[in-house]
Amino acid sequence: MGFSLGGAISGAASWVGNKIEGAVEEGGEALHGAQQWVGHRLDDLDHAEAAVGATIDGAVHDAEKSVDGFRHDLETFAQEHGGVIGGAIAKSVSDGIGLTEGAGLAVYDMGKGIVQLADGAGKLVNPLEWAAHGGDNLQRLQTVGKTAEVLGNLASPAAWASNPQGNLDTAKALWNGVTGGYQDAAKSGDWSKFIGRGVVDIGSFFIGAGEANAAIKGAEGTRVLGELGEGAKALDAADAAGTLAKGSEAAADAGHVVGGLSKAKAEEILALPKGSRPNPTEYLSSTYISDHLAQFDDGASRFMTTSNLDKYGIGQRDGTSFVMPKHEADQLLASTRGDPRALEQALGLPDHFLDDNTLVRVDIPKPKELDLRVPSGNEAGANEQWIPGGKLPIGNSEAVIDVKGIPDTRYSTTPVR
Amino acid sequence: MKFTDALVLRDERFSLGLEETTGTFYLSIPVSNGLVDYEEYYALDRAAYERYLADPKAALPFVQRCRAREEDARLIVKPGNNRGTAV
Repeated sequence: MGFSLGGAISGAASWVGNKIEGAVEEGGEALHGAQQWVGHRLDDLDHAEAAVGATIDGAVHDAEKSVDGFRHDLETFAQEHGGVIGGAIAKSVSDGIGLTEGAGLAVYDMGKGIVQLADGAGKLVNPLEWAAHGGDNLQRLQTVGKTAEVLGNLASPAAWASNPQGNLDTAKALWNGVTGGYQDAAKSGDWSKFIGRGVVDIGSFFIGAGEANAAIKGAEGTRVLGELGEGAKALDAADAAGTLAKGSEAAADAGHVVGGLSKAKAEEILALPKGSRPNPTEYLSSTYISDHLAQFDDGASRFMTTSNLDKYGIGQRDGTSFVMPKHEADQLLASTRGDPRALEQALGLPDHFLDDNTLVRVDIPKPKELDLRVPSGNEAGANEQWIPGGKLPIGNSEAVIDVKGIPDTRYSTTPVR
Repeated sequence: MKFTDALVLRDERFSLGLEETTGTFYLSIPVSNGLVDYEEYYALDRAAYERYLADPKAALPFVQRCRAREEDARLIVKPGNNRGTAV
C-alpha cells in the first residue's frame, strides 16, 4: 500500500478543521467567560470596582493561557502524527488562532488602558463597562468620535496640563494597556499574536476606535495571514508597532481631527506658511465652531507675566490675543493649588521661573464682543505647536480675540501669586 | 534673577536692561506659548547694550534674530517644556 500525499493532506486538513473549530470556540468561550465574569460583578459596582484590576487581569490571562496551551498542543500533536505536512498545517492554524487571539486581547488591553485612565479621570467612562461590555463601549467611542478625542475628554485639559505626574501615570497606564500584550507576544516570539494585536491597535489608532469593531472582524476573517509567512508578517507588524511606538504623536494626530477636519487637511493647512492659512470656516463645520465658541460664553482668560502686561498690554503684535475658556483657567489654577512648580509645568514655563516673576490672570467677560473666533494659525501668537481646530496639542481649547485699542474696562487682571 | 528694564519699546516690542544679580545686560522680547505670555532674555555685551540704548533701531536686526531663534546661545533663562513664540 503506497503513501498517499493527497490522502495525508486531506486527513490532516480534516483533523485540523475539527480542531480549529473547537479551538476558536474554546478561545472565544474563555475570553467570553472572562467578560461574563466581570459582567456579573456589575451587580455590585463598589465591590467590582475594587476587584477590577487584579481579578479581571487574572481571568483574561487565564483565558489567554488556555488558548496558548491549546495552540502549543495542536502543533506538537500534529508534528507527532502528521509529520512535516501536518506540522506545517497545524502551525498555520495555530498562527491563525494566535492572530484572532491577539486581536481579542488587544481590544481587551485597549479597554483596560482606558479603564485605568477613566478611573483616574472621575469615572467619565465606567471601567467595568469596558471589561464587561466592550462592544457597547466601542459603540460609545464611535458616538463620541475618535479615540484620542475620547481620551482628551476623559480629563479636563487643564488638569492634564497642570498635573504632569498624574498625566504621566495615566499615559503610562494607557500605554501599558495597549503595548503590554505586544511586549509579551514579542518576548515569547508569538508573532501571529503580535500581528493580531496590530490589526486592532494600529487600526484603532488611525481609523478610530469606533471602527475597531470592523478591524476585529477583519482580524477574525484574515486568519489566513498567518499562512503568508510569519517572518514577513512579523516584519510588517514590527513596522506597524514602530509607528505605534510614536503613540503620543499618533494619538495627538488623531485628536487633531475635529469638526469635519481630516488629518490630511490638517497637515495641508499646517504646511502652509503663516499668513496664508485659510479661515477655519472653510474647513470646520459651523456646528463645531459654534459649539467650540460656546465654551467661552462664561468668559475668556489668559495668563501673562506682570511685566508683559505692564510693558505690552494684553495684545500681541498684530493686535490679537489668544484666550482660553474661563472655566479651563479656573481648573488649571485649582489643580495646581498654588504650587509654583506645578504652575510652571502646567504653563510650560522654565523651572523656577516664578521665583523671579509674577503672573497675572486676565479675564475678558464678553469675548464675543471682541470678535471671538477659532484661530486660523496666521496670528502672531500661533507658534510651531499651533494646530487647526481651536485646540492646543495638550487638548486645551483656545480662541482668539481682537484687543487692539480696547479700554482696560473690557478686562480685569488678578495676580496669580 | 532680577531683570530691571532701562528702556521699553512698546511698539517695537523689545526691552533693554540689566540683570542685577549677575550684572548681565540683556535685550528681552515678549513670547507666548498659547497658555501664557512671558519674556525671553538675551545677553548682550556692554558695547552692544550701549549702542542699542543710544539707537534702539540699531537693535532691530538683533531682535529679529532673537524672534527667529537664531540667538538662542545668548538666552539667559533656558526655555521650559513649551517654548513660546515671539508675539
